[in-house]
Amino acid sequence: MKFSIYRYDPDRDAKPYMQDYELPEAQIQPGMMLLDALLLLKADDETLSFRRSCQEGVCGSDGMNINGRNGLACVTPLASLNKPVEIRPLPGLPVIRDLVVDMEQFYQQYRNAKPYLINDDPCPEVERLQTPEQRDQLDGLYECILCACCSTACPSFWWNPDKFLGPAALLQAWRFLADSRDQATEERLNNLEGPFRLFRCHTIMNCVEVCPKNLNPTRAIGRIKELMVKRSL
Amino acid sequence: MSRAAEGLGGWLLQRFTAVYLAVYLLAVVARLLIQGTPGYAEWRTWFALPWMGVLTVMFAIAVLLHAWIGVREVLIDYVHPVWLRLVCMAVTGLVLLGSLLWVVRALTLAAMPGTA
Repeated sequence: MKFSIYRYDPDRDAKPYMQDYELPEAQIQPGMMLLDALLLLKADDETLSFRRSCQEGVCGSDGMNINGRNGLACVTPLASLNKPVEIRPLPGLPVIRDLVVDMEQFYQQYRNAKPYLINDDPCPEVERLQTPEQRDQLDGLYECILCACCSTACPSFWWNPDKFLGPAALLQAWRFLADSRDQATEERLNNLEGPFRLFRCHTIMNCVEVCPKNLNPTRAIGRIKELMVKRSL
Repeated sequence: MSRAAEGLGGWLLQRFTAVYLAVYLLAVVARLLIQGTPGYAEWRTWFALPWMGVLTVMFAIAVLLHAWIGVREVLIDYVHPVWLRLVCMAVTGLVLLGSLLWVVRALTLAAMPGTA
């Protein structure tokens, strides 16, 4: 099976290039994921660099651009891919080496969304309770694993990664706005005002298309806008 | 312009104008379908009606606001040097404003008797 993989080592290479790899068919098992293939290729060529950890779509480390579409290598079946498989780093972020990108801008925007509960009430003796209905509001939001597949597939994030929060951070912004225990609604909405942080979203929906957890950041962004309109009336 | 108007306000305005544009265009197309294509004289009488003039000026304003917000979005996305973005926005603004004056002139002429 043929692969074409983006290679770049800033210490050695003047510019990035695509390198062809071939994995012998004998090594391919039924049901194999792309990450398994990459690990076999790495066994042959140790210089090939990529991130990975849990290998089952939970940690979000191995986000990459696979045949032009962002996804997690560990949950992408080899059989589902057109050959040769073209693998590049997540688009839009600075490349550290090969498929490893610098996620700082992505995390910066995540921090900007204040992804934690803000509640000034004194701590209760037990948990801060929610009704089952209130808890249901968080479904489809809390599952995000921060793999960055969505934000790096978003053209608005490509053009303004320093100012636009991006789908991943906005999904988290809504996750805490929707939380019945959170008290910082005003502050959170104020933080999202202006032309950049939220309103760079043009409902392109690449984020929804690529999310390996099938989450819907576009809907979350719509809910934030809805809440803003309600607040301004 | 306040920060709020640049974000939520612009976004809302673009949606409101879109609805008005759709309704106006559908109404005009419906009329053309029902009554057939009018000749020049008929066109003129039609647009000389005061309510039609008002609705059409509102249509023109809606188009221009819609275009202004849309073009501004594109410029914010793609044109990053502030001076260049300002120049592009100023040019866009002038063109849109000129278009509005032109529409008003056309409608006023249509409403005035004795002009060709």
